Amino acid sequence: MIGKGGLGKSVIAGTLARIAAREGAQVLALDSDPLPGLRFSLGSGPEPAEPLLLQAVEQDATGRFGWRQGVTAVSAAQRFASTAPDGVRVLHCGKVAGDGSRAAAGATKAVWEVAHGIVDAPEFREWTLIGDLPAGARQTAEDWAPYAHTYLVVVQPTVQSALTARRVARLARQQSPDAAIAFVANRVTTKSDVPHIESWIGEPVFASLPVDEELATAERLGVAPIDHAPDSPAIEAMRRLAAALEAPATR
Amino acid sequence: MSAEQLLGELEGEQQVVVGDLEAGVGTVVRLQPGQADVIVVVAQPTAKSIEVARRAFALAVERAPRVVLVANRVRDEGDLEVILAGVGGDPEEVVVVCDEPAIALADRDGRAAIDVDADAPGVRALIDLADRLTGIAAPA
Repeated sequence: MIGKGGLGKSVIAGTLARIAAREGAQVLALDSDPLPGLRFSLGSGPEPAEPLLLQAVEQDATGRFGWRQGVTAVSAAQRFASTAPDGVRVLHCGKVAGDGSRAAAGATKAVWEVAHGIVDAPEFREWTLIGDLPAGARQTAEDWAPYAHTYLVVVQPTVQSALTARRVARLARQQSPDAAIAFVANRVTTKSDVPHIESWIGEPVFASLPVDEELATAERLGVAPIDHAPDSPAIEAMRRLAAALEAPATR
Repeated sequence: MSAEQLLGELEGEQQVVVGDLEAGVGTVVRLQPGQADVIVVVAQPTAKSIEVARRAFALAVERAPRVVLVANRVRDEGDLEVILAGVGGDPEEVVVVCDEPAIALADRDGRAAIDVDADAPGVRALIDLADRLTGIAAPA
């Protein structure tokens, strides 16, 4: 999940993860955003002081983080993921706190190592992996999602978000030439929104999600949208998006 | 050069430097006292935004002599109360910007909100904030 900030990437990532898990998939969500977001959207509540994943790493004499003795990317993903509703397993990077912060650095390094270490791991071959990348282009350019078969580029009907979408899509194509790129138009209000977005980005939109006051309310309450309003139009549209992503063209 | 290094290098006399920093608290963590005269912390009434603003505000008061909290996209008194309670820190200056259709329209069209409707209440609140920050108007 990539795109400009504030477009609803975490909401879509969290909801798609819950939908996939309810349909029987084994789901691992990788949260590499140092800002809080995915936990709320999954329904796991506020961030803990230190992510569980921090227990998988240790610092050497130079201050660099590496796996603790006996830990690998695969075992870290298996043992140090937290469990969200519907059985979604989640690896969170550290969230930047007041001190700078050790938790952020250690767990973020661990998420990077897991993202790269499980790509070809047989233990995760049947799993659905969903990555929630932070706003902007940096992590896309730095290959934080080597596991991605499909990049979902979230865009809403504003010029700024379309310009960012175009840029991050270009970077994703450079980084992962074999991956599919699917633009998701979020917070669509009128029939003309999608054609406008398509004219700005110069490509077709794969799916559109309507603006939905129930989602806004869930965000205000800090609860998972799929729990707050499971039958709302935007959640229904995300179910259709999940089904479309299962189609061969995007796999 | 990072944003905080740039702020430290710029000559502030006789000019106003406005830094639109990256989302989150990374830059504020690295900011040294003296590099900014005022830090404006923006929060909107969502759990995620308030969580970030709470951390940012606590850091900002240690790094700048003046910190202004902007409560953005506020629809009613309840929204403002949620933001103030969530951010905490007892801010001395709070600016309320209502959920403003003119700003949303400007965003959609890629235009400046002040050019779309300078008299809209939300835009007016931002103009008043600018006046206060530049000393044209005193803090309320």
